[in-house]
Amino acid sequence: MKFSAVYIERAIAEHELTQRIIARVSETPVITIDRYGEVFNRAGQNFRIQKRAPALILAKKHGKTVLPAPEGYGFEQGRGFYFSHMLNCLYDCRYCFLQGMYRSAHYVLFVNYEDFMAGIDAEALSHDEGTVFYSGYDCDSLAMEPISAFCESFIPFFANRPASILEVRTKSTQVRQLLDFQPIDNCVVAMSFTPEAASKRWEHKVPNLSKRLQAMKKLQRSGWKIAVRFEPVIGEAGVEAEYERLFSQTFSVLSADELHSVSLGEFRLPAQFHKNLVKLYPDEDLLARETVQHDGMLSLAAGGEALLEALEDRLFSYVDRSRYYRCA
Amino acid sequence: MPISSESVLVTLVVALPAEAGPLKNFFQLKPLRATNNVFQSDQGIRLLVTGVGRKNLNHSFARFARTEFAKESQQVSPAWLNIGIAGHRELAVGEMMVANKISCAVSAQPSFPTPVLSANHYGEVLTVDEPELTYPQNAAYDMEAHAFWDMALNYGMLDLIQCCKLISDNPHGGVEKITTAVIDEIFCAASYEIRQHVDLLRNLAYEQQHLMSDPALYLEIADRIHLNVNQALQIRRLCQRFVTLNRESELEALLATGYHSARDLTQILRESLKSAVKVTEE
Repeated sequence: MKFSAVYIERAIAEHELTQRIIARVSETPVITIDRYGEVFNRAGQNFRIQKRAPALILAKKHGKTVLPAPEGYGFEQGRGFYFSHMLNCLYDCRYCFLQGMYRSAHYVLFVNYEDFMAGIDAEALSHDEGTVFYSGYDCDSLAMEPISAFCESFIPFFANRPASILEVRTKSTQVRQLLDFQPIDNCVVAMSFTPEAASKRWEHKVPNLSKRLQAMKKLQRSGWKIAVRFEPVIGEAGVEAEYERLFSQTFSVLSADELHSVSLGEFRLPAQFHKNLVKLYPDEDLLARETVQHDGMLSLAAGGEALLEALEDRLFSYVDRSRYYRCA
Repeated sequence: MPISSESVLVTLVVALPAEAGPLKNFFQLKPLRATNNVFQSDQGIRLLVTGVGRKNLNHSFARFARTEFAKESQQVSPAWLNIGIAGHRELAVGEMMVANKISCAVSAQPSFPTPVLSANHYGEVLTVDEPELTYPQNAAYDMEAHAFWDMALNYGMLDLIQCCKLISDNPHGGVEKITTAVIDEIFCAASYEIRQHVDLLRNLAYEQQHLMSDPALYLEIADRIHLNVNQALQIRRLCQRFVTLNRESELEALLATGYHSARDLTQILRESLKSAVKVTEE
C-alpha cells in the first residue's frame, strides 16, 4: 500500500497506532501538521487530481465519535449508529458520494480507536434495546486493514459486548485478519456488489467479482455472518438480465440459507454531492444521465420503483424474503 | 470568456537572473513584449523572474498582473512552479528537494503543497528574509517560496502550485561559494528532473482545462444568441451532457431545426434528454 505522503497531527504523533503505521510506511515522506483540516478541508482542492496519488493523514477524532445511522440503513432491529474511523476509500467508484462530500481525496485515519470504543459503549449503555454499529459509511472498513488494524482492534472489542452488533461494510478481499479470529456472533461482514459489467465500468481499483465472492465464501465457511448488499442499482437497458446473472453467480458461490441478510438499494445521493461530482467528472456518462429529485436526493430517471420491484422478484427466487430489506 | 483547453500555461517562478538563464535555454523562452522579466515559449511555458526576497516577488506578481499582456492574454496558468536555489543542513549541493511544507520565519501559518511531484527528496522549505548561514532546522532555506505560494494561489489551482529547490549551499559549502557559474551548473544537472516536473504539471493542467472547456456547439449557440448567466450555465451543461452521452449529432440536428430564444432552446434540449430515458425504459 503506497501513499504519496503521510501527514501526522502533532497530538497523536506518539500514539501506538501512529508509530506502528509509520514503521510500515518508512519510505514515505512524513509531514507534521496541527489539525487534519489544514490539509483535508482546504478550499480549491481537486479530488480528481489528488485521487491519482492520495496521501494518508493520521489524526485524532474530536467530539462525537458515534452518530445515529440514517433511517433504513441496515437490516437489524434496534437502534442503529455509525462510526467513521476513516474518511475516504482506497477504491475509486465513479458513483461514490464521497467524491462529492469531501474536498480532498486523501485518506484520513483517526487513530484514537479508544475514543470510538468509549462512544460505542456510551450508546450501548444508554439504550435498553439492542444496538447496531455500522462501520464503512465514509470508507471501506477492510480495504486498509494492514495499515489501519481496524478488525484487529474492533473484533476483540465487540467479542466482549455480545449485546451490540457490528456491521462492517466493504468491497475488499482483505479478510485474512478476520479469518485469524474465531468468528463472533455479533459481527456481520456486508459486501456490496454490482453486476460485473457495471463493476468493470465504474468500480475502479475494486477487486473483481469472483475474488470478492471467494473471500465471502471463505468467511461464510469459517462461520462468520455475511451479508450481501446489491447496491447501487444503476438503471439502464439490459440491467435486469445483468442482475439475474449476478444473483446466479453470487448464490452459486454463497449459501443463501446461511446469509445474514440481503439488500437492494438504488443509486441515489444528495443533489449537492451530485453537482460536485459533475464538476469533477463532466465527461462521465453516468453523471450526464437524466435524474429525478425527491427531498434533496437525486436518483436516475431510468431506475425507480418498477426496476427495484422487478429485481426483488428475481432475487426472491434465490433468497428467502425474511432475509431481505430494501436499503433506503 | 470561453474556456479552451488550447490555452494552458505552466508558469515557472525564479528569483535570480542566474536561475532564469538555464531555464530560458531548456525551454526556449523568449522575452515577452513590454516586459523585462517575463519570458514565454510557444510550448505553453512562461517564466517570471522576480528578484530576491518576498517583497520583490510580491512586486513582480503585481507588476505582471498590471501589464497589458496579462490583461489581454486569454491563456490561463493553472500550474505554477517555484524553482530556486536553497541552503540545507543535510542535503548535498546539487540535490533537488520537492517542498511538502512551506513555512515562513516571520509567519506562523505553514502551507502544504499537494504531493504531486516525484523526487528523491521531499521536505520543508523555510522562507527567511536574510541568507541563513547556520541551517538550524532540517529544512531548505530560501527567500521567496512562502510569498510565491500566497501569490500563486490567486492565479493557479491549489493542487498544481508546486515548489522545488536545488541545494546550493550547506555546512560544507557556504553561500559565499555561490556564483552564476555554480547556479548554472546546478540547474543544468537538474534539467531532466525539472523537465519532468514541468511536463507532469502541464499534462495535469491540460487535462483540467480540457474538462472545463466549453463544448464547441455551446460556443456556437453563445455566439448566435444572447444568454444571461443562468441560461449560459444551463445550456452549457445540457450541451455537455449530449456530448458525454455520445449524442452530439442529435444535438446538432436539434440546433439545426431552429429555436426562438434561450428559454425555448433550454426546453427543447431538456425534453430531448428526457425522452431518451423513456426510450431506454421501453
